[in-house]
Amino acid sequence: MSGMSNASIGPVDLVGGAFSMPLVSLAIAVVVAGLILVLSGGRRTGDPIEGRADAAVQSRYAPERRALGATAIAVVVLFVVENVVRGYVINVADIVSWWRFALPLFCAAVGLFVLLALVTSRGTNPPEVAVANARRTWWTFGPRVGIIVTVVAFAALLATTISAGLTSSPDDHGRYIWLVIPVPNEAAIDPVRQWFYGWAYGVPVLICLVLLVAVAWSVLHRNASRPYRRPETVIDENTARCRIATDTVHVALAAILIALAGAWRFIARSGTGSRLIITGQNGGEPYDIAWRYAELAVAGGWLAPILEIIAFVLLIVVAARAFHAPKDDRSDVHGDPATSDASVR
Amino acid sequence: MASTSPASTDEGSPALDIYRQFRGLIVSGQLGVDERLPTVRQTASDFGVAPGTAAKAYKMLEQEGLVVTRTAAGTRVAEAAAPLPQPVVRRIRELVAEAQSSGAQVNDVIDVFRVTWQTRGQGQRPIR
Repeated sequence: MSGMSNASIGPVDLVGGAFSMPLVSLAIAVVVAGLILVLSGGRRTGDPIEGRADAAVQSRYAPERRALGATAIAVVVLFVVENVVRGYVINVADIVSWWRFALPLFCAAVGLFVLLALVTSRGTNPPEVAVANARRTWWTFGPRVGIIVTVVAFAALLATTISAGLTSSPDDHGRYIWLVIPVPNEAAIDPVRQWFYGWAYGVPVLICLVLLVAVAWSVLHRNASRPYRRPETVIDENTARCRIATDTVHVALAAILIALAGAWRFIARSGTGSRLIITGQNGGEPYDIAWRYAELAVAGGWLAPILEIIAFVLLIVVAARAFHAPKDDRSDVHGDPATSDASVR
Repeated sequence: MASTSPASTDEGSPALDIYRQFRGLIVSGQLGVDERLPTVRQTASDFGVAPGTAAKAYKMLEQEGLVVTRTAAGTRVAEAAAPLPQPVVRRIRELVAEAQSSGAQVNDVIDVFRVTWQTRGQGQRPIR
């Protein structure tokens, strides 16, 4: 019979326990991103446009790609540092760590703001040879699916934050950090209060979320609307702008997913069912207390690691691609630059 | 549409350059019917000129009947000015971008395009 107590922790519990730590998601994401980069690296060796890109075009867009890569790295590093410091270094027992969900959004917003400054300052130089083009908007170079997914993630984080904020209750200091769960049919018993993703956490997230989306949109708009250098660089510049737009969307999406995953984890932790035992009452039996959205909270808790893995994979791939130049870039820059009369994308 | 430069404009002026380039894009089919032209501001930025100069070029295109300007709808390519409608031109651009990113040669793409066109024109199922 002694074996039964060991068997009470099943594989599902083990997996759930492992995935309750965001750093496990990061470790898995490193492996997945490595596989993606290795597999795509094999296919990318013959990328004709990348290989023949004009040296001036490459030098024009390289700082922007590096800024995006640095932003992606900063989001990951800050996430790890914040987790370690909050979990193992400082005691946050009665502190509302409001920054934990807003930090990835803020970091991504700052990084994209630097990128916006680069695009604005470097990209508005008058063209060497003017060329007429079709209309270009923020949507022109952006990854269509990526933008749609980002909008969905934005809506999910917005809805989660506002719903949780409306559900939350204030503590004695007026901080909206509690989820109050009343004991069913027992009005005399004080309700259970759990720490929750209330307004105290949600308001900074909303501010940083709006900031991030505004900056990301501005980058997409400025990246698209700036003039081309010459007619023969249009194709290369279009490719570079597509890359900048894609990575911008991926960084914004990843930051939103990390914040959303954190919110769902927190809600799952505080919103799942619990028991209240009051000595001498209810004939010694515990009171079962359940939040009405407990099932949703549990589902969110299970989805959170998946969101985190996707987010970290996106960031690692953006960072790796930003600091990795294709092998044939240098050999061909003076040889056969991609030229075309096409001036319309 | 027969003339290439309105008589009222000086040869070599930036407005005339903008006018000629957009005229070329429209007549050659690189801009489709009802396709929106860039904003005056974007064109001014693309050419490194003042917005008034770009607006002047758009006015010239409008006088030629190449574009139509409507309030809120912006400046669009006129119906009779371009050979292909906007959705077709947009798909062609996407096809070109996809072909270029995959390293395909332009002649191969044209050959496949022609065969596919003819096959579908004869009512046969396309080869996949």
